[in-house]
Amino acid sequence: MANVNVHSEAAQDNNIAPSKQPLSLPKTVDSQSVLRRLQSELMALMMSGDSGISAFPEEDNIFCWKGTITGSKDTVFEGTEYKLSLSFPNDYPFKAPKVKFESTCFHPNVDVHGNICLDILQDKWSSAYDVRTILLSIQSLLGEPNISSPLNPQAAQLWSNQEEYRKMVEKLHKLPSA
Amino acid sequence: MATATGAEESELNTYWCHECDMSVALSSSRSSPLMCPHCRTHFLELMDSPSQNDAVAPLSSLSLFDSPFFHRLIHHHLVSNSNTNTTDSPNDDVAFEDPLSLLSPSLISSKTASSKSSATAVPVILVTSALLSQLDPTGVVSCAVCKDDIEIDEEAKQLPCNHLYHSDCITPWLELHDSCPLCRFRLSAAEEEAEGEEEDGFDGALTSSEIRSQLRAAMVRLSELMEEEEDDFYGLRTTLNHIASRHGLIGSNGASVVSEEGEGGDSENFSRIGGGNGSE
Repeated sequence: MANVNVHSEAAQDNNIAPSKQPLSLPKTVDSQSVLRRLQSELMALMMSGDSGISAFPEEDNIFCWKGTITGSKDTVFEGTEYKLSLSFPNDYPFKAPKVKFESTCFHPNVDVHGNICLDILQDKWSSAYDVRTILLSIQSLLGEPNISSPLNPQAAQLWSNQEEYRKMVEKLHKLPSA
Repeated sequence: MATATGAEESELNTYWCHECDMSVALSSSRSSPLMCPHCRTHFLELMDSPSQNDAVAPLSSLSLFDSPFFHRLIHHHLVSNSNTNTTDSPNDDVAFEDPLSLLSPSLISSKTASSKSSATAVPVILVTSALLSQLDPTGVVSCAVCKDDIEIDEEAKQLPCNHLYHSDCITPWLELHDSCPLCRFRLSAAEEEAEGEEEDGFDGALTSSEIRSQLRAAMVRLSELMEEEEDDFYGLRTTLNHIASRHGLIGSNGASVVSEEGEGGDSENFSRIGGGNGSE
């Protein structure tokens, strides 16, 4: 956990001078490039003005972000809002971040712990993806689940009945965060 | 075994094939009429016979120079030099890449890159404004790995799919993956295709490493023989000069383009031959 605070300091110093980076990091050069990339993503995300998605680093750690997505119009998730956590590895963007739902999400490809089954977060990861495209992908996954390999079989089964599904979504959405 | 080999070698003679314009080592004891192994004709002339005392080593080196692989190498060298994009003799590329570098490293530099792994195969380029405006009308191209703009004069790599990245950004990705981050173009797909073409035509009479070692030994001896100014070593220098100039390897003044020194074992082997020559 010591690393967490170090990362945070590094992030704040990054704009001023690279030489001010703390030397206690195991991989100083790598960490610097990860920090630069995450800062660049944060800027781009704030400038983009995408509706329905947002994300911001946690106060003390730029390697951990909190994101939100809202359900798209004309889907059973319309009007709902979900919180997610994004945890970036030290070799980001060469490896995918770990992304989980923090809110309860009743969805065929999301399990009860909030784990998401999405190819671009696993074997189809590309370093060209970023927070923005990840959140947009999850947002579109909500309305277009992959029923054939569900993490939540109950949700997969109910999907064919959109009216009942909508009721379930509304019911679970009122519940406090998991 | 040892005596039998010795007897066989002592019967070898060097002939000049007037059809091929080169020397060939043939056994004279055969009952069948002498025939050049390369052109299959009988237009042969017995060359000045080497002294039988130290015949073994020079004869073995002669047979190396007479190796058809050696002549194919020289021929291939010239063909690939005059037309780098040719697919004339792709079968030679695999086996002869190394020995070619002994002759003239600069001529094959364009070929070596394609046979390396994906991560290093893509050449590093310096970004120009022309390249940037070619990729984007506004001239602003960002690196999909670091998300920063790619600036003029920065080191970059352009993948076969034309996507451009900072060199330092894309190399770690290619070490982990085999594809373009933006379009998933598989780099090995293009490579396998090229390698398949090269290997298909290889006749495989000798393994490439055998040919390599033979050629390397031949090159070492050739380079050292070319430096012999005083004696025409059993007429070998004249022969080699003739072959080489015929193939355009050296200038008419006899200046050698072969400059590479050999490995320890080969040099030692040669010095024994050279010593024998000097004493006579």
